[in-house]
Amino acid sequence: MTTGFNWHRWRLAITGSIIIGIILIAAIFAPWLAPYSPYDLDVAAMLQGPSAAHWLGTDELGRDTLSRLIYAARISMQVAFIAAGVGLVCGTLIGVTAAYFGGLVDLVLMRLMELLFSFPAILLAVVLMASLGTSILNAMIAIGIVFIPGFSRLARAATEVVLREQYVESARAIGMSNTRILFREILPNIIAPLLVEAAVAFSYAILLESALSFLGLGAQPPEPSWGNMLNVGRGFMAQSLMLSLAPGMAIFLTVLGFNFIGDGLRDALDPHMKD
Amino acid sequence: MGNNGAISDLAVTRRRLLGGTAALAGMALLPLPALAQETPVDGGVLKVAFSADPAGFDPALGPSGMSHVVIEQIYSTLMSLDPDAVPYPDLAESYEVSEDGLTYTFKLRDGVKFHDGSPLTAEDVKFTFDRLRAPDSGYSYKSQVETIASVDVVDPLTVKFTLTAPTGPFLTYMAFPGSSIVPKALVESGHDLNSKPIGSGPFKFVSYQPRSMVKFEKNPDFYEAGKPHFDGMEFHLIPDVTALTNAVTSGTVHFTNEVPPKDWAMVSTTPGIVGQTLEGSRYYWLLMNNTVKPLDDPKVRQAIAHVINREAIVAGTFFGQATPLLGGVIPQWNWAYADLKVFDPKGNVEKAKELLAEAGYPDGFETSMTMASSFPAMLAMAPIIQANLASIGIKAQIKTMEIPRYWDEVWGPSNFDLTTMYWVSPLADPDDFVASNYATGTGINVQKSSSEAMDKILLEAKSATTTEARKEAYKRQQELSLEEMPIAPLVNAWLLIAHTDKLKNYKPMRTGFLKTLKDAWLEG
Amino acid sequence: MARFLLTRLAAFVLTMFAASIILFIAINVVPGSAARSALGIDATPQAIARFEASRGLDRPLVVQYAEWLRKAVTGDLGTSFQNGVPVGPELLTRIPVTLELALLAFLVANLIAFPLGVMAAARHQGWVDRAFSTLASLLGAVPNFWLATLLVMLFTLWLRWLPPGGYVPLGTDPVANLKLMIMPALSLGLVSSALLLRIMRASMIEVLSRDYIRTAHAKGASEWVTLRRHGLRNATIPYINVAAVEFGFLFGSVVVIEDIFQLPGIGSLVLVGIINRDYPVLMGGALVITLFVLVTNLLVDIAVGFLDPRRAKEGQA
Repeated sequence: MTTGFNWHRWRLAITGSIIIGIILIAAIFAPWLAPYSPYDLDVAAMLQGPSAAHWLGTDELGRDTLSRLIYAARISMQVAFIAAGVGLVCGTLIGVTAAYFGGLVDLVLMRLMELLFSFPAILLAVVLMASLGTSILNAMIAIGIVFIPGFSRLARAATEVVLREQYVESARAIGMSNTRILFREILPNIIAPLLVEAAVAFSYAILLESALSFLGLGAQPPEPSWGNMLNVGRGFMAQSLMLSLAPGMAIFLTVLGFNFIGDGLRDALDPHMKD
Repeated sequence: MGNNGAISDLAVTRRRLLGGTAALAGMALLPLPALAQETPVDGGVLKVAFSADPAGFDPALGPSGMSHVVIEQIYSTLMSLDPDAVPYPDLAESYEVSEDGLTYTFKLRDGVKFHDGSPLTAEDVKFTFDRLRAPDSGYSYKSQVETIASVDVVDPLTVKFTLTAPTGPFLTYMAFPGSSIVPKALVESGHDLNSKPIGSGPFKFVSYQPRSMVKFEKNPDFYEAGKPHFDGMEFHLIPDVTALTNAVTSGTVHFTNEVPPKDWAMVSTTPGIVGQTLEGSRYYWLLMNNTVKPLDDPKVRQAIAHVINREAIVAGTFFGQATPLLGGVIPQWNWAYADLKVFDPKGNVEKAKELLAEAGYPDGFETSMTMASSFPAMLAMAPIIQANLASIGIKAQIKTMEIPRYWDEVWGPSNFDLTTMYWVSPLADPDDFVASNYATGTGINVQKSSSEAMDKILLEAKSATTTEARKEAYKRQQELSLEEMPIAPLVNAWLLIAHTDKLKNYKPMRTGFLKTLKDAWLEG
Repeated sequence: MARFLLTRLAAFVLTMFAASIILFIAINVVPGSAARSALGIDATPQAIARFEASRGLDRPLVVQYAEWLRKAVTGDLGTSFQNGVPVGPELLTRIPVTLELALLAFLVANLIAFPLGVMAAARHQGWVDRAFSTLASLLGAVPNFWLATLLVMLFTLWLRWLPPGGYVPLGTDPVANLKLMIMPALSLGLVSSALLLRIMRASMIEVLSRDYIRTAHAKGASEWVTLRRHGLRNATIPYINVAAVEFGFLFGSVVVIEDIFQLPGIGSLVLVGIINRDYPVLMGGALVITLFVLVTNLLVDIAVGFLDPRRAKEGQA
């Protein structure tokens, strides 16, 4: 008999949240936490290994790797949240609309989503970035667009389940407007699976953003991004291992954190799950 | 390392380079110490690594760069440049220039054949240049042939060029890969030289696999007996700079002249690899938009040029493998070098501040610097320059844009305050170093500078009839360039060449081209 | 069944068509002209204008697309802006490279995921399960391009066992070819295996918990026989579905991996096309990758349809 909060059930989600929490704090409080400016270069001190002055060493222009890592967290987190947000909002809108109105609307919208879905994610992101132009904002939009089909599918499926329930019929019977039904009856009941998907989207966004930056299509130098730091690090493998290890580790931990949150939420909310 | 020995002053003018003395004269000017006479070894396939793909093999169409690297192996030119960029007669056995500099008569070698077996005659030479000069030729370097009034066949082995004005760099233009002699009969019958080049050079074209390889085989009938020594060549096209370095150090290729500065220390000390540095003509400069306030004031531009820490750029951007440009852009090894030392290698903050104050901006101002993010060197330079500018109160915001958007949105419309670029001179004639950058209205003059005095001196320097007169004119031109300061010269990046120690008798060329490969051989 | 096949095929063709339109619009709206990229820094405005006119880049988008489509259906995918080389043949020579990479990576992923997933499910909630699940979690979080860099550090820089990149055709020298493919295939395959492992595990657990399994157990059938006869076949279908999606994902990831390892496949061609604004190349490359993904989905749909006729009927809705 357990009283109070069931820690055990939520352990995965909590672990993930702690990891992401740390990274978020680093991102938000970067100016205070970073020992140096990410742009300050010191050509004489380039490609140094870890030392007391530079905990993670310096990069090819003598800039402090740790500081750049922390500032890069800002960009990654921003892109992840906004891209996932764009995907979530637009996708949900499309999915719910398709399920609610059904018929032709459903057909057209879902065919469009299927079409978008048929493009491999990275290819779509890369082509969109080339099209929109390389900037962090465009990276957010491009990745967001990549997510829309996935969210719309999920939202549509979840909405269909809800629509079969009685209370929507009753709501319509008593004359509730469509918007009110949407917000009061449908949305609250589809939120759970959407949030799980959102957590997955966050982690995928981190991967996509760093892949784009790695290819030179995302954050442009001298803006630090984990992806473009990895790209530079690759060219200096012989001279400095840390340049390749540190940003990769950062991406890995962030993705892991979001994955834990997603898995943890899914497990915790799953009625079949045995404690 | 660096400048190999003293550069002989050219008391010998080109007018006096005649006949068989040409080759000897060329050798005498070589700055490298005399090599022990080794016996050449014939055979083997030389593998060379490059990063860019060629864009066609027709001398009239192919843009400079990789296309020309391929073209110079397949075709021949009337004149060629030696390692120190001094022209010598190549396809021509000898030549004469009239006193007024308006007539050049070339006597061709006898018995030269194109790769299809047909003989090369004066008709082919006339055809080649008429083709380049034709209004719809598509030739990007028309400025080189614009002073040619006519090309006439005197006899099958003699051809006469009549010019409209004395053209100092004319012989150098004849050495330009675009001036390669093409087979008249083949072209007229519709043969596409752009995909299947046929020339008279040391190597025959075999195949081109895009983004992969260009293959050559030896021309057994090459007019220089005994050469080339290789049975064939492979140009491996490796766009990734790190992969290129790996290809050299692992022995997958024998040779490259594109070692990235960041890997130079490692590559040049790899056992089995010989590294050679050479100052060529790849210089970087800071462009200031002359039509934008306050950059339209020469004093402001001078201030900017003076505050830049060129030593830091050499160290940080080029890992030491560059020469800071402390005066004019014409490099030390070139005959028109003027030895003007105006800039402090570390930058001079006080002087810059003074100049700014004189211009009316004692507290500096805000501006922006747009860099092409696809060039690592530009990105590496940007923070250094930004910091230098900040020290005199100029706050430059760094903006980046990747190629090719940069070309269209920044470069072409001159949509920038400050930007940087590099220029590789394929000709190594002083005119080529300065004309495009300083003359009014050229394609590269995106800083929109325009000065009558500058245009005048450039024309004078180009059309003077003696080397001494030209040299003196270029001195004045460079002095003027430092007064008007439309652009700020930064550094001259060295050629970084790495090859297997089995490659013998290779002499690197200042122009960065590879004509001298025909003299080299592989041992073992 | 025939109706099912036909609808699937029709959907495939329509999707390819629509995909080509979307790609064409995206690519040709791209700012940054191909002209200067191809002609170099000293290109005169006249040369640029001539370049664009000769390639019809100054005509309206609809006209350009119609022209492209007309040529494409006959197999002519245009010529590269950079070097004038026909795109179609170049794509053909590159397809085997990408295909080999994707298949090898897929093989690696399945070789790991299938057995480990089954084992984890069979020992559900034991330490084997926890270990493999943790492994899957960790592997799945690794960016494949980082793994590639780490592998190069280990096998090239430190151990000097493998070359850092390049390609030799399988026919020319199988040993060299495989040596060059190991790291690329591992980079892609290891990360992919994570997801597949979890799916296999989850699928098997679900199936194993069903009543008929317990009945078989109760009747005395050995554990492995039960697994094999009943569990595997039913668990396989969801696995195949996800594996197909993963295979498609692999094709997207080749863009990055081919770049890192200098493999002359379609992925690196797409990248070249973007960097140089070489529209015909980009269009051709992106289309081929999309084609592969769609074909994979089509084949899987059909396979599943045969394996599980109920799905086939559902799919017709």
